[in-house]
Order: sequence, then structure tokens, then C-alpha cells
Amino acid sequence: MGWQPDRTAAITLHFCDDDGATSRHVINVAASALPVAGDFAIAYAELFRPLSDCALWKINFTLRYLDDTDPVAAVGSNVNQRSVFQFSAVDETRFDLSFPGMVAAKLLQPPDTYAGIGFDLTDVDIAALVAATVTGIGGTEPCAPWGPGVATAFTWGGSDLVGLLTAFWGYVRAGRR
Amino acid sequence: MAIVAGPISLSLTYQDDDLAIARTSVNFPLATTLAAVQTYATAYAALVAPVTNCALIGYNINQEYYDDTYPVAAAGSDVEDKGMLIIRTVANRIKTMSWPGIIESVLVNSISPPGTFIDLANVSVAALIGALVTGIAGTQPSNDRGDDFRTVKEAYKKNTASQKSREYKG
Repeated sequence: MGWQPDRTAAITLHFCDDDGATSRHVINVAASALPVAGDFAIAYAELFRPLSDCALWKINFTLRYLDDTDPVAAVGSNVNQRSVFQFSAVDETRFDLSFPGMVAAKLLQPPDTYAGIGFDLTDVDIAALVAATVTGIGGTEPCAPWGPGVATAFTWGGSDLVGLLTAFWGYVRAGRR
Repeated sequence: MAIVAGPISLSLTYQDDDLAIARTSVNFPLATTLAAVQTYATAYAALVAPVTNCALIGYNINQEYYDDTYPVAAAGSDVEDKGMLIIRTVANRIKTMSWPGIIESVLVNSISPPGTFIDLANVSVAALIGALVTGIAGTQPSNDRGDDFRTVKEAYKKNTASQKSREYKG
């Protein structure tokens, strides 16, 4: 088995009143409706214009996927111990992507100067993850969430990630719930 | 004034052996489709798994939409003035939902039973209920179990607390 969509996707409408307070309205759609649910989200949100005097300023349409094989974390794993990958973006800014948990076997080994600190970028799993982030998978690639949008496709403030600068591990505080 | 699509993001959720949760989030350019990110997410999750000793327990794909005219709330509007709907599902379960800032013109006051109720005959209210019960262009909403809605049981105004985060800087 593996990744399965949740039974429903969530549509969240974000409202704001004239003193800046915010509130939300949440509705679900069945997973079977996903191909057209984005269109539904817009049409549904429009219905609230004549019903609310607050500003409807954002809509989130969230698809949830869960691993039905019930994955188990390794003994001693810690989400605060992060694998940090620092990418360069096309607009010459830097973008840090951190992955919770760290596999010590992926670190550089002595006598390397950065043994135990930096990740071995020639490791096949590390290289595959970096390639998927920088060049994408099947024509789809992520981007940094800010920047002037130098490349044509990145017209909404995102900047294309063009290379990996460094990769190391460190502690970053995360939620404990 | 139109609601238009914004960028899509992918959020991966991890859990360690003492059940703490953390996430990684990546963003996609505006031109990327939801279907493309769905395909990418499955492949990306498989590449992330070998470089973490935490359990990768789920991921969310979030499509954002926004109003391209920078919406402004009416003077005196209050997110704590809620329109409340109690709806029965086809499985006979009850779903309670609300929306902030209900306008006065869709309300009717009643002495018996006492209270301020939503006028179900109002055109805009009827359109919302129609969308909930019969859907829009073949797509029907549901409760979080996936049960379709059947009928409105109660509709009234309620004043209820909300967060006061000033998340929106409009």
C-alpha cells in the first residue's frame, strides 16, 4: 500500500473584520471530488460575499495524504535534529530547507574536515533528494517562496532553486505535540 | 474583483520516537498544477524517507486562493458575529458550521421561539444551503467523514469568540 488520500479534502475560508481580527470557515469535500474541488472552492467562497461583511482574504484548499503502512520512527529519533540543506536561488538569495531527523550514516566520515557535521553529497540518497529539489521530478520543481520571480515561470514571487550550497545537521526547535 | 489561484505548497509531516511532530514545507511556482504536485509529492516523499530517521507520517498539499482586489472589511464588521448552521447528513449525523461577520439583512427576529434566526428564504442564504445540500456543478461538500449533507436543522446568529491574531494586515 503506501500513500493514501484522506477521506476528504478541506476548504478553509479566511475572514477578517475591520479591526483586524480573523476567523475561519471550514468545509470538506470527498476525496472522489478532488479533480474539480478547486473550482468548487472558488464558487463556494463567492456565496459568502452577500452573507458576510468581513473581508474574505484567503482560501486554502488542502489535500491530506497518510501512509497506511503505519511508519515507525527509529529509536532515539528526534524531530529537533535537522538535516539542513542550503540552496541558492536564481535571484542570488539563499533558501534553507530542513528535514527533521538525521541519519548519521549519511554524514561525511574522517578524515574529511567536516566529518560528522556535513552530509556526504555523493551519497546516492542525498544526491537524489537534492536533484529532486533543484531540477524537479517529471517536469515539476519546487521554488523558494520569495524573490522577484526572475525566471518566467516564477511569476508569483517565487525564485527557482539553482544549486546546493551546503548540507549539514543541526538542532532546530520544533513543535512537541 | 475575482478569486484567483495562488501558489501551491507541499508540507511533509514527521514524527519521532517520542511522538513529537515537525514539518518540512516546499513551494511551487504559480504555473504548477495541483495534479503535477500530487505526482511530485509521492515521488518526493520516497526520496525524503531515506535521509530521515523519523517516521514520515503524512503530507498535505495546499492550494491557496486569494482575492485580486485586496478585500476590505466593512466598517463595524466583527468576525465574532457568526452565522451558525446545524446540518443533518445523509448518515443522520449532525454537522455544525459557522461563518464570520453575518450581515443583519439576512436575519429575522423571533419571539417564539426567542432568538435571532437566519432567513432561509433569503436568496443568498438559499444559494448557500443549495450549495451545501446539492452541490455546485456536480461537486458536493461533506462533513469530514465524507458524508453528504441532507437538510438544515437550525440556522441562527451567535456571538462567539474568535482568535484575535491580526493575521491579515489589510
